[in-house]
Amino acid sequence: MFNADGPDLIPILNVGTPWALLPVCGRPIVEYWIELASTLGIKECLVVADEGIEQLESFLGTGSRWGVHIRIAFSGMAQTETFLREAGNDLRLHIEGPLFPKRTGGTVAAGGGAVSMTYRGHNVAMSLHAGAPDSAVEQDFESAGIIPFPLDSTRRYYALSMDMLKYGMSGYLTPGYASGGDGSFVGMDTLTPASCELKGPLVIGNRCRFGTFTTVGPNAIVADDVVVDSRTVITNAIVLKATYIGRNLDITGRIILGNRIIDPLSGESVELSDPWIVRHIPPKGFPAWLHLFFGQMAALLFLLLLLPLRYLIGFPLRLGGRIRTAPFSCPDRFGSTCTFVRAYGEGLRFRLYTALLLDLTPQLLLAVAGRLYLCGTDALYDRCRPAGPPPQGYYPGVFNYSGARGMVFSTPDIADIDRRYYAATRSPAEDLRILFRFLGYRILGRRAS
Amino acid sequence: MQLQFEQNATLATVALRGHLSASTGNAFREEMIALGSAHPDVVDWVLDMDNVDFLDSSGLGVLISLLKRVTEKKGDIVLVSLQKKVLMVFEITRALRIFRVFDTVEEASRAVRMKDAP
Repeated sequence: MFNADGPDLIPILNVGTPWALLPVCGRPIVEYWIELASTLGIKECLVVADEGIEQLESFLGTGSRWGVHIRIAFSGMAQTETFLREAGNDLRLHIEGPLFPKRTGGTVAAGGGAVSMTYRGHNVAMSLHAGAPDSAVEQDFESAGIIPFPLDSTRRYYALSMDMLKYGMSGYLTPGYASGGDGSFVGMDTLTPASCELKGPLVIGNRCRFGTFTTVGPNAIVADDVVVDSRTVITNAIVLKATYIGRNLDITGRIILGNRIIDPLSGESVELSDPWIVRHIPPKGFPAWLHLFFGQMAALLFLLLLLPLRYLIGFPLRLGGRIRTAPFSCPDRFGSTCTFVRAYGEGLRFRLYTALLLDLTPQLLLAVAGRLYLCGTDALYDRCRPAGPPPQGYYPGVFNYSGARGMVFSTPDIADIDRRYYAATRSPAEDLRILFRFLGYRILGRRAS
Repeated sequence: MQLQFEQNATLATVALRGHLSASTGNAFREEMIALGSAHPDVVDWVLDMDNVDFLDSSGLGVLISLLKRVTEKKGDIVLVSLQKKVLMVFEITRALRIFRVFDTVEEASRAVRMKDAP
């Protein structure tokens, strides 16, 4: 029985997450316990908690992937007593509070089929019993190869993580794909460019993205959905889930959770509000296929509305020579080449033409259909030149984040800065805000990117 | 960003107050350049950051560009009394390898004078 109740002894780490799901070397604590129970031959598990029930249910499911049957109960309910009564004299493992089962190798001895082990600490407890109580043989957990390790501070959490990386991974079911030899484990759908250096021992989770010339490890733990920008070094550090780490940083001896940087030894933390350095990556909104499907429909609707206006207003302007155009090509988000024309002109009618976005109709339709990002780098006609390819990894956008935020950059590489900011902060709400501001500029006749 | 300037021979102490970010960085740089022009005999600068409660990557970029400007004239910029958040930014961006940081203005001034001593 696993009691996930208990005080938040490491509140700065498991913000919004039950401590049972706090990851140790890439996997939640509760998973280690389930595995231990399964190893001992236990088939029925009861997880008791008063918070985070939905998250626990979502992760644990029915327990079938571990070969056990898991039930989850709200604390205070009578299910606990019923569960223990049903267990009878079968092997019973009971865990209370934030404990981690360090495994050192060893076996659970059974004298006449009965064994009893108990551990008690501050706010934590663990017991393992089999057989009738009066015939049980007392054994300590260490001889059974299990060391109950209380996780009551960031220092202990960090020490456990580093210790497991260096010495202890062989005792557990390891995450991800092993690199062979140096204690490196990398999860699924994680992309590392050729220039990225991985130095074991390390653990990298699923769906991570690393920039060029990053160095990860030794002694690094990177959780799922982490983005690390170029030329950053992560060593002797733990980066928790859905964190973005900026460019050219040195993350050594720290725990990073979103925009929170924690000193594991002192437990002190600071929260940085600069999204270029560290930030939390919000969960993705609509799935991509939904966006594309509805995007195509919306683009068709826009086409029916804008095309007549484009010809009604634009055609006379062209006939009168009041519009000049210049073609240019850019890649879209899928690597194909798109060719557009930029319109130049003056006068009230031309301002009306641009205010209604009739000069940007093709780009807008592609953005609505999902082929171009609505916002990102500078507008296409500023950054894409008719000759020569754009920089590698370029995400052409229709509008400009930097213009919307009024930021002033001292470096000339604005497209590069925009791309990084865009990767970290893009959201449909932000795109719409930039769009309306851009429309305002155009209607007022102001030049805006 | 407010600045309070004090000169002592070739050493200037500037106490900063406010936040150093994308929105204030340019104005801060212009003010520092103006101070440098108004006091051409100042070679070394001590920036007291005790009342700087926020610094982002843009603000750090401004400090680095000022340091570059000063070191071209054989001078130095040292920093004093970084708040915890600001110090963290310096640590993880490796800016501590570029700037010398002290706890007090007196310590910083002493270190700068020792560097300049024959």
